[in-house]
Amino acid sequence: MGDFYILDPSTSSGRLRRIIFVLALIGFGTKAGIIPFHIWLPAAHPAAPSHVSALMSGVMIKAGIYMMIRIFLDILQPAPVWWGLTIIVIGAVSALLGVLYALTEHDIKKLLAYHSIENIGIILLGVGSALTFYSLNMPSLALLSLVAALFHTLNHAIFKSLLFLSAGSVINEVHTRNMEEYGGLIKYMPQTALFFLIGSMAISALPPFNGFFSEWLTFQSLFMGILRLQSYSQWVFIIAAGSLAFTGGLALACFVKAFGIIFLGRPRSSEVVHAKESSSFMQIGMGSLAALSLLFGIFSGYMVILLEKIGKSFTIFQNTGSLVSVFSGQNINIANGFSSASAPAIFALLFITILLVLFVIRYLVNKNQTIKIGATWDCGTDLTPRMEITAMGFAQSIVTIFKSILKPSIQHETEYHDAESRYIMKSKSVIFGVGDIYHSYLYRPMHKIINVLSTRAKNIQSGNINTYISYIFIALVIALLFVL
Amino acid sequence: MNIIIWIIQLIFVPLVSPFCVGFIRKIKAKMQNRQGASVFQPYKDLWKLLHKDEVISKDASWIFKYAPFIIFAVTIIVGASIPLFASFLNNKLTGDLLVIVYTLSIGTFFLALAGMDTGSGFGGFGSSREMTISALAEGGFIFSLLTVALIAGTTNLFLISGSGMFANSQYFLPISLAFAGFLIILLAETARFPFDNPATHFELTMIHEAMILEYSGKKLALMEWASANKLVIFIALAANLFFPFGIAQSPSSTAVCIGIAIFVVKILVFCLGIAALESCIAKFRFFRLPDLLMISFILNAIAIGIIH
Repeated sequence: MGDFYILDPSTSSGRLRRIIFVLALIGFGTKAGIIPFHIWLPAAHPAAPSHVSALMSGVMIKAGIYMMIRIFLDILQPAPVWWGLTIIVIGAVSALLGVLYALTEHDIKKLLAYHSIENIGIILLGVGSALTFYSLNMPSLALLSLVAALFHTLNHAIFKSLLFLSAGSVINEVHTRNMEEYGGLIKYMPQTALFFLIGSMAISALPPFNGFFSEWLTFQSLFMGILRLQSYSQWVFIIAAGSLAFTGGLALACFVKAFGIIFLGRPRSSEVVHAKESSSFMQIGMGSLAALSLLFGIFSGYMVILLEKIGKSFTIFQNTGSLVSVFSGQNINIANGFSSASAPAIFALLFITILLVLFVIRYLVNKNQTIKIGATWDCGTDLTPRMEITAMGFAQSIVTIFKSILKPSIQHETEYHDAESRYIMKSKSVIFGVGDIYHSYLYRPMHKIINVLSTRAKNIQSGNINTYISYIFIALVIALLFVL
Repeated sequence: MNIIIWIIQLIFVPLVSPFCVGFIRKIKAKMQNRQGASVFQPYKDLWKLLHKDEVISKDASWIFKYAPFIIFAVTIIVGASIPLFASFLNNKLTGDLLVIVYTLSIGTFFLALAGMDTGSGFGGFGSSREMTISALAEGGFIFSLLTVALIAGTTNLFLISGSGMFANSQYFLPISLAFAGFLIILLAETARFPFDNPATHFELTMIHEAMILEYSGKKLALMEWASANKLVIFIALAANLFFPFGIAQSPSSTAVCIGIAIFVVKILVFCLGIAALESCIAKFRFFRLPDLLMISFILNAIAIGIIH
């Protein structure tokens, strides 16, 4: 415990521990990027080079998660129930809002940054459930949730680094972060496209990649919460599970958008046509992360056992019985048959069935089929990049549906040839934006209050040395009164 | 014996699915005072498409070329991993609720990507609409299955269908709420009224048809077949998780035969219901659909809240 001995529950007061909980949550939460303290994250990522973004998202923001786990599950134990529930609510909000903001972005790195916020939310769902279960004296469930959180932390580091690296090699070739200027890159950078596709499938929790299994475990711990808890804590878990379900669906939509706009269709700018496949060293980097994504998925059983050992090294989990068992064939089994899934079986089934369908349809049915290459149906006009869907347009329906949260804005600007008689238009531009409610309702008011307070505080600074000496004297008298 | 049952389980969905589509079309035709094509017409259509030549856009990449195989394979896998006529098969490897939901998502993912791949405006908007609907349907989908899973005490779909909880009247209300929610999801995921019109190619509103607009020949056949499979998969989930009576509980040949017969009857009833619904209501405006999907989610959340 070292310096943390003052937090020993037998000596420290409840209020001190509460204050430390709130401040640690805000402090480490800001580091991890929880909403509403996330605004630095989407601003910092585009400024950093892509490989640094990979480290930032993969490793650095996890420092916040590490400290939260250490403080809440170790140093500040025992914790009241509301701490865990608060973290679950924050996780649910961060996951859902993070993915919604990601959908509105067309800067590829900001999009990925918002997905980091989403995934931090998912990790916090696990951490929060672990804390809640432990406070309610269900240590085996707490251990299961902690394993889910740790597994997702690890998986997120892998697939998010993969996505940042492949986004980086695209940016390197096309020289812009704006997705609206990409398009058709799969023909110019086929390997990078494949790696990005694997990253997208992993982050959207599609089996058999690793993201699916950590989200599966997180879901299981939330389901167990719904099953075992009562009244308001049960409802918190219901809402959290609902938010995780919608997050999964929206993340899938967002990565269809990202992959489709970047790599599919026709090039939207001349830069794309000059793009070349990235160097083999970069391909090795991305390829090994892509392989890890698949391997951590297929061997998720081993990973769960390993992470459970790590979880058991916590003082509070030392004698905790395990709820997860891994049978032959990597079959992960939760709570004595409540749920079970086998990653290698899913992978083998997908692999064999796809090959079988391909073989039968290709080579057994109508072998002599001829395939003609034609143009996309163009309705009789020339096909231009402007006929394709844009990143903006793809997300527009979801933005419209969630307009009460996202606060979209449209700004029309028209320039005329003649300022006097406004008949002939020179140019017209429409700017779509998303309202930043965190700046206008949290950071700006805070900024204002600090400004007002400092202006007030300025009044005591007269510049007269005698006044300052009298301040020192008064301070000394007060200090002496306290001491004596 | 077990091997024969597994083979039936494996080929059941792709074998029956064109019939379902034909049956729904026939009923709709009858309700519109038309004669309608034979119920076996979809089989002939598939056979015809499989023997046609193909035209592929020059903008298409391997995603477009391989997506039909992936999507079709996914429906085969999911069709084999859910309870159809026998609950005793007890597949512990892939029969999990979330595995089914997310494996189906693989199909949606590649379908939407294939729609965007040729750079056609129709395909892009079809994908955008499909992803919007499927993202918002995810909550209701998982929660409606979760309701029955929590009641049965397991998320394995085979165990749920074999648990016989339907007989217990205390669960009548949550199960009916969850079923109402699931029905909405069924219509959304299988591109039926009021979400999508499977019968037209109307540019302004089509969703599923817009994404497969560029396909022809064998690949179109696979896409059509996969979407028919998806219909049977959702009907099977509705029929066997919410009304699990008649499902074969033991591997005796009589039980299995009865199971298959009852399952076919259930499919016909559901097809009848879908056809009647499609004949009676109009397609909704796109931005009214989220309301419907949210209703499904809220119904299911309430259902989960009142279990006990």
